[in-house]
Amino acid sequence: MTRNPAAVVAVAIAAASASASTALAQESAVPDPDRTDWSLQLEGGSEYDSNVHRVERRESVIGSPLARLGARHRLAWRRTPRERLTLASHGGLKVFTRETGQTENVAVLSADGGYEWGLPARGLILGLSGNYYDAIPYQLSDAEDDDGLGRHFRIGQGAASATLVGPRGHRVTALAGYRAFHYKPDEDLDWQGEHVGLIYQGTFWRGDPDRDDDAAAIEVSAGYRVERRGYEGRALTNICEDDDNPDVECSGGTGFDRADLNHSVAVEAVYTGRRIYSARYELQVNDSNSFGESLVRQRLQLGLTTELFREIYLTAEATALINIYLDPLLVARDEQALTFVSIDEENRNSLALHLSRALTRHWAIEGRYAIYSNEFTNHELTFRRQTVYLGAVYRYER
Amino acid sequence: MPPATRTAAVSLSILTKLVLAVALFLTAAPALAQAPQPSAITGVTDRAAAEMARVQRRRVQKLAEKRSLERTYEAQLRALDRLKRSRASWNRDRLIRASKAESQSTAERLSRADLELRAIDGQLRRQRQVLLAAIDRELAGGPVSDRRAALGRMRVQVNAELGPRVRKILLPDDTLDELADPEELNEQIGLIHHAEVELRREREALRQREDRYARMAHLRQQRERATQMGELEDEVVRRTGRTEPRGSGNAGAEGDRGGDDQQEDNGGAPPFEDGGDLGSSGGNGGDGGGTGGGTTGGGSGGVGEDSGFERSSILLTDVVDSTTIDALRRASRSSSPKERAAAALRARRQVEARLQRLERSRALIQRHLGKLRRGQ
Repeated sequence: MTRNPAAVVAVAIAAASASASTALAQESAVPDPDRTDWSLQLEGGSEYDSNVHRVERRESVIGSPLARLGARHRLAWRRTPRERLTLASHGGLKVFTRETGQTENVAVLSADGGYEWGLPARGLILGLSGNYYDAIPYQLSDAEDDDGLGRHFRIGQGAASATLVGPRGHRVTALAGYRAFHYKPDEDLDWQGEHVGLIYQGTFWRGDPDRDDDAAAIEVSAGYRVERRGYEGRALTNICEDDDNPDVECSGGTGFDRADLNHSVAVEAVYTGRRIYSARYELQVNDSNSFGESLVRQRLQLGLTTELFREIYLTAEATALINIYLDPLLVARDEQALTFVSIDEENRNSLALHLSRALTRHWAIEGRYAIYSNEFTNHELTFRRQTVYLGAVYRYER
Repeated sequence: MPPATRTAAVSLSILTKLVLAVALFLTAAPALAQAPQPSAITGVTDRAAAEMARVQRRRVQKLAEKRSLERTYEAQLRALDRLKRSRASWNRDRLIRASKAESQSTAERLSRADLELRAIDGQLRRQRQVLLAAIDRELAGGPVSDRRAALGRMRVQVNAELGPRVRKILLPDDTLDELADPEELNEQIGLIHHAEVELRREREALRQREDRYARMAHLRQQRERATQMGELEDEVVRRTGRTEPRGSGNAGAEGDRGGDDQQEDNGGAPPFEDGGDLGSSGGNGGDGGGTGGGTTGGGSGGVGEDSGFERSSILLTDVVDSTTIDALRRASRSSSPKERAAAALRARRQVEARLQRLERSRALIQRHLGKLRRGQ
């Protein structure tokens, strides 16, 4: 029997929408009054970075102190009980004090905007969102030039979404959008393309607030996103025989534009009670028509937030990341890129500890220690980086 | 065509289909989202109310039938008892057997009536839920003021019937009547004391909720802040241009991506994108960033429903002001711990103020009563 997939999708959506409408209507039975919430956050502090350029060669590792400054603003406005407009912006600065770290100085500007329109009668929320992020290089002195190899870029995207709200907070969101990426040092790596995704969010378990003082809950979310990336540059191909050892000269140009498909699947569970425990797993598959650009990336994150004592809060997050390269990857072992090592996979792990204590209603002091390393793979490439931060944050909300 | 190119072409074809499916969804959604006409919504509510009334009538009939059977059964048991106490004879035994059979038959009918009544109760509960949903749906559509008021009353009634029986705390007259006799004053003091006990219990419940949700909100804020700090230190290894003329493995083109100094990547997105797109609750916190949940007032990444707020809104009807009652009702459905903590705090402060007033009044009345007794 032949079925029209579009009709099936439409019928499924209609059925889900009908069942969801009751739940959403119940949730919004007492609509919030027209109101505006906003917050302003200012932050600043000093940090020491043990590996400023994030290199894997021990002899080139340079450490430097730096200053970090930032300001964040958020606004949420309910024009009517069914509509919500959100705006958020962030500006940040990272300034290294040593001459050798000047190429790593960066200013960041980002803006986020979103509009949500709830349709309780249909159990549906329609949304539009957009964001922009720009990492801008700047140097306070005439140190060595950035020689086109910096990590500066800008990215912007717009997306439309539709969320079906089911009973007990179950939500399914479908989204579609367009994203453009500009890599400032090399335009060949600029890309743009559309993406679509499907996300589920819901409550897996919750305690009884009348019996359990914690009234804990476990929230789960899972999603899939696929994105097409059409690059400015051309795709490369392997011009050597398959049996040949990987070599720099094996990469040859083609007449095709480079095009990647980036798939991403993520699952997350968050327990909120007297403490917050979280676990997140993400799998990314980048399928490229360019030789050497396809990879599989897996990331596992475990987190904990708890109060230690005397209102000191600790947030710990451990991350393990594994990249599997589908074509042999050549990585330079020296600064002049004269010798290379071929790798099929590598990993990067991190552990970050964040401590915070409120001093007044608006002021808090905070410290952070993080260590990054690659312990499990590629002993040819040793990577180690540590950062220590001490700073203060001011937060105003209304 | 090189195999890699062919793979990409196939993948692009799949992507095109996916884009079409989502585009269809997004195109269909607004059409599906066209809200039904107000009259249709009203009709649904009225039909649900009528159906509930019909089930209620059935329940009344069945209950009357059950009571009638109970009376019959009791009469039969009494008659059987009388027979058993009468003089033994062949005729008595025959009558006892007949009476027993009769009472057993009545007991079975009674048992069946019980089962039917239980089924009707289940049906009634479901029908009340349907009616409640229909009322909420109509309320969300913004009906005219008269209709809204009627629906509001109906909602309170149906909700109260659905949940465990909660009665509002009755506040007695706390003014001193100097002409009242000691018995009347004693009774008034007793009533005030009873109200004080209930208010203290409710104050404690509100304080617990306030502490619990304030703690949750604070934990979430801490987690969000840690995530913000981490945004600048993203650990993802992103290598590019491995075979490009400028050489791979160069220090500038590899290394981990910083949130603020990210290079081109195979997942190139700002920190909030990498996880945010797929619903990570870490990036922006589960608290809606202090915005009090989503458009629906529900929202995920939050905490579950807490019916205690709804119960408090009924208990404290005469104790706190109407805006606080609304805040309590919103809090029961909100996903934001911060909003819940704020509602509990607001209600608790008003309960405390009322408690102090009652305590002062009771002390005044007790002093007056003491004077009266000394005068006697």
